[in-house]
Amino acid sequence: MTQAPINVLMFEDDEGQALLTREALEQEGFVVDVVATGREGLTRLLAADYQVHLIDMKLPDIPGVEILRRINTVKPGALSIIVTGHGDELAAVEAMKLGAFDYIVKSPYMSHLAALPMVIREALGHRRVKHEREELQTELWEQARLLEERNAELRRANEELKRMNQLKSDLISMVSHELRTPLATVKEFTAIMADGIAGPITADQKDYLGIVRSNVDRLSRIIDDLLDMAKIEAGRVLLTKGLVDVAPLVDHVLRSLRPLADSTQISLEAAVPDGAAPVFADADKVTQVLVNLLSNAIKFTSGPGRVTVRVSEQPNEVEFSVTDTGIGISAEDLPKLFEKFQQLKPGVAPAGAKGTGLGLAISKRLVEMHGGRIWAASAPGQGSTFTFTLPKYHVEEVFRDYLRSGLEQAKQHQRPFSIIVVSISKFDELKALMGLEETSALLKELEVALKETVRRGAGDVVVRWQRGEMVVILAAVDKAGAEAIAGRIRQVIGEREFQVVGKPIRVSVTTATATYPDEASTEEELLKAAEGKGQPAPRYRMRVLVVDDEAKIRKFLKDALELRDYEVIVAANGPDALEQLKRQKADVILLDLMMPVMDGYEVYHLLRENPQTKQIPVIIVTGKGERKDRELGLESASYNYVTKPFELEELLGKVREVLQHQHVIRS
Amino acid sequence: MADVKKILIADDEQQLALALKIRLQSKGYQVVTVNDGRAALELAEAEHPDLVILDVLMPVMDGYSCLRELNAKFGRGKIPVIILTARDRMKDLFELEGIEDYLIKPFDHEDLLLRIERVFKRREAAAAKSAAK
Repeated sequence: MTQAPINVLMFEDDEGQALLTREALEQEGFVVDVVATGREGLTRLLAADYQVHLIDMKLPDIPGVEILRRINTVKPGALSIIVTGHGDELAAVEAMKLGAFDYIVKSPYMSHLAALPMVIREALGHRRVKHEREELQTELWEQARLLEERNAELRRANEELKRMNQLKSDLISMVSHELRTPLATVKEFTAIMADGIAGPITADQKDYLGIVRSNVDRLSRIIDDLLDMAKIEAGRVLLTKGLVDVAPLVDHVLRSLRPLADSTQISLEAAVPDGAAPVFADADKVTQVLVNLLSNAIKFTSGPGRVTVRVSEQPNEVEFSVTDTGIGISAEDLPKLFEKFQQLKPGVAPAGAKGTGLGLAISKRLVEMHGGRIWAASAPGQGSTFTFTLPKYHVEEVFRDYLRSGLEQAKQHQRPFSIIVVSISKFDELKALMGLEETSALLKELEVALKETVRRGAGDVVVRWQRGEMVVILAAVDKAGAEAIAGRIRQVIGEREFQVVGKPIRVSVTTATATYPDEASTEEELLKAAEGKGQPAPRYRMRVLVVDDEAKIRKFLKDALELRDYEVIVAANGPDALEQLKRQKADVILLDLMMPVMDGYEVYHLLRENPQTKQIPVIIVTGKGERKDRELGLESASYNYVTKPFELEELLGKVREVLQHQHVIRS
Repeated sequence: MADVKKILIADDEQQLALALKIRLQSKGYQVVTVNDGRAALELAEAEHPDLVILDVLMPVMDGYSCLRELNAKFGRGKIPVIILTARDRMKDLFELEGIEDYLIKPFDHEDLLLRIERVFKRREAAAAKSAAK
């Protein structure tokens, strides 16, 4: 492989040195020009191109350092290697600072000459790499610059697009408002005439006024749809989501459409299961979607026919479908249905039933804004089914949704945003005392009280239950405002009596607030800030000791009690029970009477004799006819009994009763 | 037969206001229309209407300012006020005090008539109650 020769310019005034160096280099395939003075070399330099300059530091006319500087001026980036005498290394280092690539020290025995070709090659190699790197760098810079330019262009285009979009929606909403007033005026005067207020009219005149009216109505619908679409596209439709009960909503929609359906002999039916799960949605928007699908269905079904609304519950969503017995939709038209301004098959729709071509597009957007889906299934002559889904109302999700949008709004408008966490003091104890059902009844009542306390405008009350922590009021208020609301809640709840199992009880609550931007800037931080502040009461569960020799019963009671959030310890016999009670205390003991080793009577007496255990309420579980409390010589009030075979509910009721009694005594 | 109720309508859309006037007159109400809040206020002072219907967007003085002035002058809610507003301005309503009812434009005259009747019924019931005491 032949390589292009490497041209070397050597500045060397020592002839012998020059000769030997030239030889050494030429052997290695370099082409070498030698100059004895700096001046000569600099002249040569301008005439020819050298890849490498070897510079002796001590030339008669110009110092090596100066030569180096000039080379760098004339040929920036030129490769220079300093050749220096022994003891001049400092000067060589100086030269390298000025841009020399390397230096080599002359050896009196010329041994440096052997190394020289390698040094030069290495230097060239380095330089090449450096060049390549520089080129790459340059290229990268260039690309970055182009990218930046392109970005700027895109930004400009985007801005422009946004502006146009805004302009469009502004225009549409302005025009729509401007159209509405004259239209309303036409409508009102038409109605005044049709109603005979301005004097009697003939039957024909009444008919014609009816035509005016129906066209005015159609124009209004078009304006409404245009306005809706413009608002959706401009992102100006905000959902006011909340808990929506499906059955009343469907009922309401059907009632409003019944006259229309009746007039064309179409029966409207609904199949809504009892107790269908509520959805998390904006009721107005859901109504709009349903009305839209239903009126379409009615329009495209010629009487006599049937339109049915079905509601079905899916794992996470509720499905609404509207089925008609109408003309159906062809396969090629199906995918286009939800696009804007799609009037399918002109002429198919009965006269006067024409819409705006926006209804389904609007419905689709509205459903999707809720996180739902919408689709259609149909075949010509087979009728159509339009189906959409809405997310079920999950408190956690709802809560997150409120939190997210509340915070977003706050950031956007640079307003404060606060959450207030309300915790019930001693919740776990309360729950253990009252049982699950009573507790949830109490929580419901508390929720109502809370909602009453927080006035409209002070915030949304979204209650998320979590271990007796009731979260939360979310409000666009600052720290002071949040604390004021919290104070009011504490006062109102604390002063109020709640009815539980017919007994009044007072609930005390603690509150904690967290405010954006003072204390947190993200949802997580906000939650953490609030939850961290309210010192959670240590989790306390009532502990039940079950003493029974039958493993099956022990297991059954343990499961049943644990399910109701009691802590359960078990003992298979009397001594075991007494042993266990030495190590840990129990809040109540379920004691079987008929046991081997030590029967229940004995256990009972031992428990009562021991000061450590004598306060623990005991529920004696006896077989029928075994009730021998009198024989025990104890007043019956000091213990309770349940007769085998017992009803679980009876037993649980007894446990609660005993614990409540104990609670009263203690407090 | 109760005496004739006086209704004051303030709306800068004069022809629409005229239509409402004709409609209400046909129902036996006595109706006066004005084009702005200031005029409504002046007329209210002179005429003591039984009901004021206020459009929100009006020149000179808007419906909300007019409502506040009416409250200040006659006492909050003394003269019943029905506000006419656009849907997208509805949330402002909740910050207002002393309105009797509201309607979202565009509305049906049937709806308006119903609400007017309801206002008067409520007022009469309240008056009867305080008279009984």
